[in-house]
Amino acid sequence: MKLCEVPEGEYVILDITDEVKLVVYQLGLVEGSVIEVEIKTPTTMVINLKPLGRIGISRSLARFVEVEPL
Amino acid sequence: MTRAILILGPANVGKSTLFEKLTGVKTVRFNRPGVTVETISAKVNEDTILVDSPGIITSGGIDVERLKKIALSGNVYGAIFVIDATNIAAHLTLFLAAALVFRRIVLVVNMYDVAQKQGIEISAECLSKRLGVPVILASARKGIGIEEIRKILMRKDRDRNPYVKEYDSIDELFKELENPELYRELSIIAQDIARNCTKIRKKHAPVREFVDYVFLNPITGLPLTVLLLSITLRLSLLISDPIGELIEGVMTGNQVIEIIGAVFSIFPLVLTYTFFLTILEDTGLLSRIMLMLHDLVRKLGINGRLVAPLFLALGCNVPSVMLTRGAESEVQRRVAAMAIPFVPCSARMAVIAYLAYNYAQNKFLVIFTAYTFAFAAAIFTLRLFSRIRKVRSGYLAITLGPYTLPDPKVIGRRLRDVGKEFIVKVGVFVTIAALIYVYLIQPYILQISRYLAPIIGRPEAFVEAAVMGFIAKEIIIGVLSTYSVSPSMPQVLSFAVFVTLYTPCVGTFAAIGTEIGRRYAILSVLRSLFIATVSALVILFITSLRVFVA
Repeated sequence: MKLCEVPEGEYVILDITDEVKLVVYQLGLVEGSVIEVEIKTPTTMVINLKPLGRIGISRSLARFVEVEPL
Repeated sequence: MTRAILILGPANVGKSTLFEKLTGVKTVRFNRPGVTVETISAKVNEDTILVDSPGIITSGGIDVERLKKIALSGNVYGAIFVIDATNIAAHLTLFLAAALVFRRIVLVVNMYDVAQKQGIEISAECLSKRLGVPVILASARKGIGIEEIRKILMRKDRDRNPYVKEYDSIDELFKELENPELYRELSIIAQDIARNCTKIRKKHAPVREFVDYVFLNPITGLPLTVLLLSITLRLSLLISDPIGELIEGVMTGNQVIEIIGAVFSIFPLVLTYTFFLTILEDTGLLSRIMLMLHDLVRKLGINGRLVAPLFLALGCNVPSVMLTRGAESEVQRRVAAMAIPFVPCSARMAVIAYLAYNYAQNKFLVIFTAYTFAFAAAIFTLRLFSRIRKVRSGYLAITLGPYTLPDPKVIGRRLRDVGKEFIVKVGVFVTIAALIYVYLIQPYILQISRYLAPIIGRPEAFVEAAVMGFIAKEIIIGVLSTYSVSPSMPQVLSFAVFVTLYTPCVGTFAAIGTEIGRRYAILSVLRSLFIATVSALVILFITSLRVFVA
């Protein structure tokens, strides 16, 4: 499922679309990373990268990231 | 030979504070041939200068072009890479990428005191062992770790960090930095190191959790963001207006001085807005504001990082153009700077109101039409230029640092830099422009305007006011107040739209010229004149169809 559509909770990243890989990888998010979706708004979301990383991303970016509940 | 050490790192990790703590004496420009990146440097000892180079790592990642320019600028000896202790996993990837470029690199894990409060323990020894470079846990604000960094700056070892690879050419190295797969590998290493070298005892940060809950909340977030930006602008105007008027009142005598006075009356606003914006940035709120507004403004072809400068344009276009420096890329910056002159500033607001209240029966129609055309022109410019320049406003991803109290020294330094730059750059440009305008151009333009008035169907006073309005929009009111005219409603409507759009004032023209380039400043005037003329003619045409009643 797409990151932009999931409810708050813990997920593992399954796939990242090529188009955004450069941006997302530079944030430390890769396939297999464990993240916690903490806050969601209609346009943005705040995720915690385990163990240490608090990242805000726009939903336009989150729709390119496939996740699965942990 | 003096050696240069760069301070690098993601935004909001305390680079400026660290620079301030490590230096503090004379600030000099770091202008090497071929380097166009805005940098500030200062001597830390006999043969070492420290270079603060913001903008190389943005929320979109590493700006490889900028990094290349600064890294190849001659006497760069090494780099201090600063990361946020509460965001190690996210920031270590960028450190590892920078370690490919700089033979000598030191990692400073800043804001360690904040991390400790959140129950995060970091082992510098473990990090140093795994990374193969010196690691210092620091709190630049509290002066922790500063002496240790100073000692490292004194060393002149020839050791290179283990991440430096041999490439066939420099271009190959920098091409590699644009390869997503590189960051994938580095991210995996970074997460593994972060996991092994940190211990998290508790995970409670009440202040951050509460402020984030309110600020990034789907219901309260957006109104609060708009409210905060509005308060910032309102307070800036409230504080700066009387001082600006004082400057304008003092600078009289001849027309050249009056023109310079009119532009320098904006100087207090530049400083006050910079002051509030630095507070927002230093506390960690600005990254949240950018995040909240990004998806709204990206539809216009710009990134969330340009929200604050564009909002300021409603107060004054001059500092707004200057603050586009925070843009993700030069292309985005140019696009925003070209759209800003269409955003109606407070001076144009006053002119529109003056026209509506003095000459129009339907005041609302005048104000509404002028604003609609202004915002339509700004949006049209943003979208058009974004398309032509193929700007990728796309996505915003930003590490959210902890909330901290603003550092007065950082604010002071920012004000000093912005103030100095305004006086030197804009001041010189405006003086030259004022001299040329008054002694070479104005006599002829005023003559031409007298001939133009009957042709384009407006009262002569309107044409003369429009010509003088190039200096500062407020002058339009001054000129009109000396005439007694009774224009028709279509004339008022078309004139209100014309003066809202027709040209940036001389201050904005100077700011675009110095910040983006003279070519763009001239282009912005010609483009604005064209759009304003077409819009005014369209209004005259529509009103001639008797859709509106005068």
